[in-house]
Amino acid sequence: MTALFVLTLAIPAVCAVVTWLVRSPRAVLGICVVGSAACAVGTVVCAREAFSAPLFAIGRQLMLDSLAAYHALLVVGVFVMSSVYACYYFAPAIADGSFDARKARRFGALWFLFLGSMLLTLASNNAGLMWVALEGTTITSALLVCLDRDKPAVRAAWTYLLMCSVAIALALIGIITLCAEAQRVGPDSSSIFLWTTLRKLAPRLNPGTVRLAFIFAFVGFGTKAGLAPMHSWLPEAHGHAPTPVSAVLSGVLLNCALYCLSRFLPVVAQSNPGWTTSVLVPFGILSMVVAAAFIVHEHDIKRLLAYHTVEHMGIIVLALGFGAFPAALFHTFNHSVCKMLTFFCGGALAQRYGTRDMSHMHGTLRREAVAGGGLLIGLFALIGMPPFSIFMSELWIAVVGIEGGHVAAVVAFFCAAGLVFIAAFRHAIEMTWPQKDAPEPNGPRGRVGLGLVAVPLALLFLIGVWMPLHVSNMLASAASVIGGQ
Amino acid sequence: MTTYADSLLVALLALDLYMVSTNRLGSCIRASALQGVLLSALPVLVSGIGPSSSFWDAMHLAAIVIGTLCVKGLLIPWVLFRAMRSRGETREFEPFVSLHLSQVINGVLCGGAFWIATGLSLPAANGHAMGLAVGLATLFIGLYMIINRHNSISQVLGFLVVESGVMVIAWALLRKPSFVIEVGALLDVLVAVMVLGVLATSLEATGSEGGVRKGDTSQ
Repeated sequence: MTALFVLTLAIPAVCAVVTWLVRSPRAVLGICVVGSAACAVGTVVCAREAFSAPLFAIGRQLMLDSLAAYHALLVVGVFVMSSVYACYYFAPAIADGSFDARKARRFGALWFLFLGSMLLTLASNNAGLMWVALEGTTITSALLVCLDRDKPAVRAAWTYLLMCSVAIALALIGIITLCAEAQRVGPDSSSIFLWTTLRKLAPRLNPGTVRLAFIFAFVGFGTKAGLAPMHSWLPEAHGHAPTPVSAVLSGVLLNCALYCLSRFLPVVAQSNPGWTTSVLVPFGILSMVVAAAFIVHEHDIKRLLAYHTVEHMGIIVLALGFGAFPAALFHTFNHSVCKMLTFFCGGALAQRYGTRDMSHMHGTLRREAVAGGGLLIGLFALIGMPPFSIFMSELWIAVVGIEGGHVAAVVAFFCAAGLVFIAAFRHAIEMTWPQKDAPEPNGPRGRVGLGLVAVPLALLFLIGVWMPLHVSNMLASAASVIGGQ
Repeated sequence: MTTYADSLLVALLALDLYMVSTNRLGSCIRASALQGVLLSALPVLVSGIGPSSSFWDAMHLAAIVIGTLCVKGLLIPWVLFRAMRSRGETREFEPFVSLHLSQVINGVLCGGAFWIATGLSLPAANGHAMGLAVGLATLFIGLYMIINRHNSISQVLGFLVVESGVMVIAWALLRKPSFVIEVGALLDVLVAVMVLGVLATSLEATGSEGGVRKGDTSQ
């Protein structure tokens, strides 16, 4: 099993090289689908083992425990779907020759390097390696954001790369501080970078130093996760990236940053019980409120979805603050699936209408039944309408919050979520409603496969009305890692 | 050894202050290269690896020293000089805060860093409390450079200063930094700077710099 674990991590690297050698854009996109599917199969097999006992490799430097496996499953799932969507998205560009072999090769290689660095982030037991891999995700995704090399995209990639690199450097200080403290109390200096060791040493660490380390880590990883007020790179990068890249950025990359933060939580909780709540809850609320304010006035469909991401990252951080770890992980899943769906549909509509401006999109349901319908229902699911699963996870988080006595925070949560609900509902209805004198859309047929819309919607609906025992066991097992059990 | 290390740290800090106070990009890049060279010597002085250490420890140290020297002393400055030439800019014209006031602000930042470093009860493994202070000061000055400057190359230089600060802190706090962190961080910084260099060049190629216009509605 260890061999398969390492092999799965190596698949993206191999595929990146293979795509570089291929000459046809269609073949590159095909390899993207096949390669991510192969990676997904490997991950699923390893994850089955990891949920019963953690897998280790290369002298405990790599580890797949239930938390990492849960996130890895999400990553490969979103990557497979986005790879399929990329075939639809780039079809018009291939036809008119703007997505040529050179660009396709660049896309393919970066796509796999991005996937590989993300999986490595999740599979690192070594905190330093985790940091290096996370910085790798920033570099590869920044290059993907400016795939088109037009000025706004380059500017967005620039801001993203600079802000996140600096922020992640701050997170490294957090990691170093924590490891230095472990070095003081630990007998063996070679393993102080391993999360497994840090968790064992946690009760003996100096609480003040651990708090300092967490603050640095929070600022660093929080910036990468797009938490307000460090979110300013996010709408630009999500807005200007090619849509399959936006889906992956929003769907799983930000989760990886929160995953890194949640590795800190059990260590901090053991030396400072209850302290993380006072950091996480205010920033969670702030992210929700800031996102709500922008969602009201936003007219660009992809930027709108990006602000929704800020809101949902806020909700997940709030849940982590409440100590509602299974609910946080459940919400992570729901958000990833729903955001992937809405980006697919929103991207297809933007192609069809030749603009991302929602005030120029009317009658989406009639003109593009699949994409328009998918976006409408996807937005409803995203803003927490029952019976979809986001409603269930938000309710779960609120219940845990009230049980924990955080009534004010829960009230703020409901107010922000309510504002987002009203604003996004208005946007969704305005787009769907036909307008008599609206010009005909002039873009190429922005297609999105029925399966790409139906599968995520079915998932959101089914998990919303009935949670299988397997899934709830997975959630409980992954949450127990954050809870430090 | 400690005296040499302290002198080195002072030199690092002096270079930070020099970079903040000059608006010639070429000088800034040279100062950053020199900082890289000094940074590569730091592990020799503070890591505690000497003639009595094992062969692998010595090799580890040598790899880090040579790697830092090549990447920060040679490769990155080369990338930045190339980006600077292709952009045809040699000066930072419009910092938000004037260079004179910047010096005062950075003096205050340094003082703050030393005050914080003495206040923090961090486990300074090598007994270099000064390393922590200089690392923090370098970090603050780097952040200040990024905020204060318009020019893309200056901002990359600011990022490099931040990164140097983090590395100084790492050497001050850790008895034996992990090979993964050192080499990984070096590679990450190299790639990040190369990408930033390319982006800076294409920003120039696609028109003058400036914020992204609102209402841009391309797909």
